[in-house]
Amino acid sequence: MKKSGFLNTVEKKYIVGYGIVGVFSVLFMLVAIVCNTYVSNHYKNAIEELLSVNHLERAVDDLNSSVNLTYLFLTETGVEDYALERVQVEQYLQEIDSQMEKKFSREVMDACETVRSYVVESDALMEKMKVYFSESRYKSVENAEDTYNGLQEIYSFVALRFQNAYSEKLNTLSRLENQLNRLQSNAILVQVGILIAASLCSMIYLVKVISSVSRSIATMHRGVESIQENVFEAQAIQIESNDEFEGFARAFNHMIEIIQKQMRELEENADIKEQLAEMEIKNLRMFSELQKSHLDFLQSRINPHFLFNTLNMISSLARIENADKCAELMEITAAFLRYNLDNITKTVTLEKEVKNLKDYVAIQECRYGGRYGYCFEVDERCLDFSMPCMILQPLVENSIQHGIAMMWEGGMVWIRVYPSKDRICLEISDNGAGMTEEQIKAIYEDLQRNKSSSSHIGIRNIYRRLRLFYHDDVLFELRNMDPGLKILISLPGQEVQKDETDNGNCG
Amino acid sequence: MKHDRIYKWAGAVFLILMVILSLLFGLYLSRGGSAANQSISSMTRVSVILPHENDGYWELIRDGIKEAEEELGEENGIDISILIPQLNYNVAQMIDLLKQQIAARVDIIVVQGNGDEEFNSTLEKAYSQGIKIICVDTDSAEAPRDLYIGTDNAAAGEMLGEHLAELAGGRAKTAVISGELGYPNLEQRLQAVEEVLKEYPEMEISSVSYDAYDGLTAMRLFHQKSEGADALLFLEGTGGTSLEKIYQEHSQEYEYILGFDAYEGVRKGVLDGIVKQDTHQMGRRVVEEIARYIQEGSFSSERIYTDIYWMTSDNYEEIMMITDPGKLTETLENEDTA
Repeated sequence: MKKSGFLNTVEKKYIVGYGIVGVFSVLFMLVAIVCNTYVSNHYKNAIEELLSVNHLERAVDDLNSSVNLTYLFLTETGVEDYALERVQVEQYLQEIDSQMEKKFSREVMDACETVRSYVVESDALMEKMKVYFSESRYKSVENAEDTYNGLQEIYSFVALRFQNAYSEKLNTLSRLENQLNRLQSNAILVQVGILIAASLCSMIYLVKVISSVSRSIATMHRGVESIQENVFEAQAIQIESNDEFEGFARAFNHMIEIIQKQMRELEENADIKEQLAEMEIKNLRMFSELQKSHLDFLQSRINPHFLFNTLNMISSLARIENADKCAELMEITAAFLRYNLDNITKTVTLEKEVKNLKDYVAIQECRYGGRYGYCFEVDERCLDFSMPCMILQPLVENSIQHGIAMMWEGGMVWIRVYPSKDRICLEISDNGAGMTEEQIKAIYEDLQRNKSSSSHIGIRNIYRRLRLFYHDDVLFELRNMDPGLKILISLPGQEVQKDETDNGNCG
Repeated sequence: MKHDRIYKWAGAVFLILMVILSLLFGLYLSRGGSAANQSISSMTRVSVILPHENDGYWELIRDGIKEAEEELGEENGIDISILIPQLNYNVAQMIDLLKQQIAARVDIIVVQGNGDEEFNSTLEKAYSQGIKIICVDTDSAEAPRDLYIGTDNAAAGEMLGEHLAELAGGRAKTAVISGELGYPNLEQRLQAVEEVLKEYPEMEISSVSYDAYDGLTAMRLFHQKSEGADALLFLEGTGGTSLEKIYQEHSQEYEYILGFDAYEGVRKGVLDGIVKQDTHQMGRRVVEEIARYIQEGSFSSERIYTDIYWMTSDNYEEIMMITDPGKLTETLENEDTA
């Protein structure tokens, strides 16, 4: 399932986590900056207001000094000073008025208005003094004394008002300080709250992200372990983290499906092979049954007991007539035939196989009158070795027919049986015509093709029977000896006690 | 996945809340945080000059003014400064305070009227400069004023005389202790008492004493027991208040003792009855009328009478509940504790 959304990668999730911390940090700094700015601005304003009142007070003092200089000491320059000081007073009054437009203060307002009353009265007095200096010098000025006394009374009120204003300003400062202290305390609480909230939020979020990653990794690990234990029982892993792990899980599950599918196909192929092998075994058995039935048919047509009895009877007759050689030959032939007919489908010991081969060789020696020689080298430790019947005789027959049959003399066939480690080696060699490499290669190919053909029937028959009997654990080798040919068969055998006659490896 | 969505939404909402909170915090800081943040042009400066600092009577007026200022002050741009002389009822100091207010060119002056010549001339000066004059408790007979708020002293005197005659059964020799000379309210009360007692042939005022507004003077006059009087009238509150503090029960010197505003004396039985003025109402009405003037450009009338009640030990709690419930609660709590 394809999911959309911003938080679809681990990287983005971590970025959001750090973003949360960043947002809270900004908030924290914002609160600190706003609070500090607010506090400093208020202190600055309060100090400015206090300074303005102080400036006004000093200006009024100077103004009153000018009034005194003019009125009490009749100093003409006092009028000019007064004019200058008056401007100053007006400036400070305007400055305070502008401050009061923002923040009203009754005490300061009363002080300013008292100053204005003072200025009105002082203006009146100074006008009179101007008249005095310009027109009526050395004459008294009407009501000047009353005006001056009234002015000084107001001046005393001004001083009182300034005291009240200072007192009020200091009280305001004190209240402001308390207020700002409370504000700073609250700001600290807010900041602590932001810090705690930031820690909690980022911690919860990051723990959630990390645990999600950890869970995903653990789930993947379990998935991998389940594959190691048994591919077929491996379960699809479920990860719904909406990040790369979810994609990985999908890919992983797809991979498992592919592996399981391929493994199932391999198993099915193996089953087919096994079925084919079983079918081949059945075919061979059928073939064997056919052969057996064929023999049975032959036996039914030529009663073997009748044949054996006849041969024994001829043998006895030959002995009566002193034809011992003939009698012996008859007995050997009878034994050879009996072995072939009785054991064709049975397992025999190597001893019996060698005995039968010796019977065959005796017949052949009689037949060819000593043109060929035979050499048996059979290790006695191998005599009890079980094997299929009629293996050695056809091979020796081949050596005679295709190897040494054309030689008038000197033809030789060697039969060697010896143990080699845990195997039994059968070796039939001759010094006859031998085979070319191409012929040997053709035989090998014929054996490997495992198909019926008209050539090399004997060797192929022996090879198949051995493979079936020993479950393919058969080494079958043809070697060109120049002169002659060596057939080497290595069969799996029981562990044979080793002695100095052990030849080591076959060949 | 559902939980994930909830977490995301909760986180987003939390962040937004934090941002809003911070902005509100900043807004709170930027607005200045001061209630007295009005421009000078919209402010009406009011100076109230009260004659007495610790007297319960004037405390109630002051409380009424402050209470009403809290309710109406900011809305109407009223700034009230309450000024009290260092010496109680000291006319010279009150004149000085008055002059300071004139020099400061305040908008409205609230004073208790009195008969002092300089006081009235100063008041006249203020009036001539356009400052509105409101007299509280005592009207100004000689100086111009814009508004009087207080007791109808003639009615109060009449109430006092009627109850005295009733109490004495129409036969008593009465000594009267007034306050300082020159207070028209006291004279109005006295005249009203005299008018009532004229109706009773056997009721006689044997003496009328004037002196300073202080307890020692009042007690000295109390003990003089002029010409064998068997009834005593205090025409203002200080006498009865002083008496209630000295005596725990009715004095044997006078058979009937009546006065003004000494409610504790009534509760203890030191006084037989008093005219209880609703001074808290006086204070409130002062501010209400100023607010009205600011809004409408005129006062509702040039003379506003506040309520008066006849209080005895029988209706003490009832009257106190109307005129000074705070004090009643305090008194009852103290009684329970005792």
